[in-house]
Amino acid sequence: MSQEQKLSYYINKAKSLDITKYEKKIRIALLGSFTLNGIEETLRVKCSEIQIGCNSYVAGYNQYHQEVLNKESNLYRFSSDIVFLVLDARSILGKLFHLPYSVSESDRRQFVKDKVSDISNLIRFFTSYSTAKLVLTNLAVPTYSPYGICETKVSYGLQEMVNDYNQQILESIKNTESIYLYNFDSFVTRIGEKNVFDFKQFFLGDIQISFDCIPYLVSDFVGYVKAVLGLSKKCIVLDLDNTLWGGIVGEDGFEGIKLGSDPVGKAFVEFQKILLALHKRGIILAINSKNNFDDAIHVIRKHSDMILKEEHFACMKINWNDKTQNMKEIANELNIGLDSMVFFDDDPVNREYIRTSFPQILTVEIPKDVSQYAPLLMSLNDFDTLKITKEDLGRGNMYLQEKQRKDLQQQATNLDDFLEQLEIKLKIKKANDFTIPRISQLTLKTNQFNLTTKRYQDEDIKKFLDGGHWVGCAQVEDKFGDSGITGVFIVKKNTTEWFIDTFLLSCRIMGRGIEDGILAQILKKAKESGVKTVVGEFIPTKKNTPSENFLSDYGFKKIGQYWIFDTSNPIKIPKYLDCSVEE
Amino acid sequence: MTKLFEIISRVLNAPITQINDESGPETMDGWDSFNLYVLLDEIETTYNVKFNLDETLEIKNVGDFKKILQKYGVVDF
Repeated sequence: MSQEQKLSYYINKAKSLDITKYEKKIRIALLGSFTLNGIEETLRVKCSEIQIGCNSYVAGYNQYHQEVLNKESNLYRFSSDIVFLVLDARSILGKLFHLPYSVSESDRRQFVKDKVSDISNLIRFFTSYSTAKLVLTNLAVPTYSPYGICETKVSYGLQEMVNDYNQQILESIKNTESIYLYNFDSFVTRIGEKNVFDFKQFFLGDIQISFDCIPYLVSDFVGYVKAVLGLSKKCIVLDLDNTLWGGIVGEDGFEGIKLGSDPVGKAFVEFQKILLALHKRGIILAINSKNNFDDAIHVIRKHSDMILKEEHFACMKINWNDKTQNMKEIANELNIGLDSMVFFDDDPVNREYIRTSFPQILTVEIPKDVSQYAPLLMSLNDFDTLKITKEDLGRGNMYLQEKQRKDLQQQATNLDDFLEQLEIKLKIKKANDFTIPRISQLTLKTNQFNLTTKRYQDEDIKKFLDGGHWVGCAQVEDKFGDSGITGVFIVKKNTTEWFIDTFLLSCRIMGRGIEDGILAQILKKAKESGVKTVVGEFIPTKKNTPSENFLSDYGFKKIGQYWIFDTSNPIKIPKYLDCSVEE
Repeated sequence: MTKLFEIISRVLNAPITQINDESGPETMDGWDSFNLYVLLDEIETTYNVKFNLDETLEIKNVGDFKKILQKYGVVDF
């Protein structure tokens, strides 16, 4: 856990923030059952530190019921992207917080049930009036009990009550996509109840999160901001010597490096295990190391304590080339932006070099003490996304397939020959409960092949469907495997003309004519429906140049700021694509 | 005498030259009840002392901070 600044630093900084200068913006409302001063200021400053302009609204002290239940309240008028509802055990439990045993066990159970249904009702009300993400905190389980060591002998005692409340709240919101539970109880466990709850501050101003702890809490909150804005990192680029193992393999040799048995070696193993777990949830791993390839690959392939194997790395740059050059090549080969990369290197000089060359890469400040590598990695919330999809879980495997495709490409005599041999199947699917999370995710994170870069949450997608528009996605398979849903389009339908609101393709499958195949299906459908004109748009960003010429190359004609296709023109479909459309 | 004034200046965002023992909520814009608690917290951390709750409530101006700090044996502000 990195050291945070004092609260006064944030409070003062917040006064002079100019949020108009940031391209990315977020609107956040804070509601709570106790004093939230300080949290709001810290949130705005922490957002500005990562180039996000944050507008905020803080509801009046303990006004959350009124604000949520009144459709005309300032909360709804503010139209937030995220609402944090921060509750505490004292106010939820009321009298029972101090005197839990003044009522019978069955009354305690009923009490918790009622509170859960009260909060669930609030949430239901909220979701029917707002499309904002709601982040609700659970309750910190009190460590004190009047029953002392006998607390655990009581049936449905104080601690069990709070645990049960937390469990029931968790169950009640688990399946609501726009609601997240922030585990405040585990925050308190991590920081310590003695540190979080300062009795003096509590008596002075109903301050229930001490000043020193507020910045830590807000750092966790910023994780939601990054996820909502789609700023999550996709790839970790790693050095080798003294980063994945102790020592320098070129000097210390295969036997001499520290990995596994001794305390230092155990720290590297732990670090690798955390990396492997991130890989399994969809984070890409890559290597950027100055080393003799043969020495390093020998360790990766043969060392018995090496947790990460060759198959876990989507790209390996082990050479004596310039590290920034390697970095660019990794980004190119993996088809991801530099700003979705995180860089780990023990050498401060390398870090500084990468940081100054590519400020958009998150270069992590590594502590000198190797025992702190794993906890540092665990503390990063830069990989947080609003959901984890099937595609995320299979990503590691997909990069392996990608390597096989590259091998095939090298053997093939020309590009058409290669594409033919891939036996690509393109399936156009409709948006439904199964595909909407992935569709939203792709709109949030696709930057390069994206004509309009419009970001949509699940609720926005549903609105398109309710409006009778066509939201579709493309699943791509070839002989090496299933790439999953990797393309998305949204077509706004009018009787005479269709408008392509969104058209994007995951960078992983660019360059295989998939985009032509998808567009052709849209145009064919338009023609069948008697629609003569399909209108497209290209909104340039810093990153979407790969899709700049797509519409004109396909045969759209520019009129004003739009691109027009007359459906009486021939509709081209790459002959090697096997296309199907779900009806 | 400057360290205490420096903390007050930084936390309440006021020019150090305008701070004296009589400075308080009437003379300093930043001195509201919440910021007073933030200030108190930083002074406690800096001088490694903990004020009692009743002492905290007696603080009406900068001079009061000094009086309490002196009570805890702080001589160099």
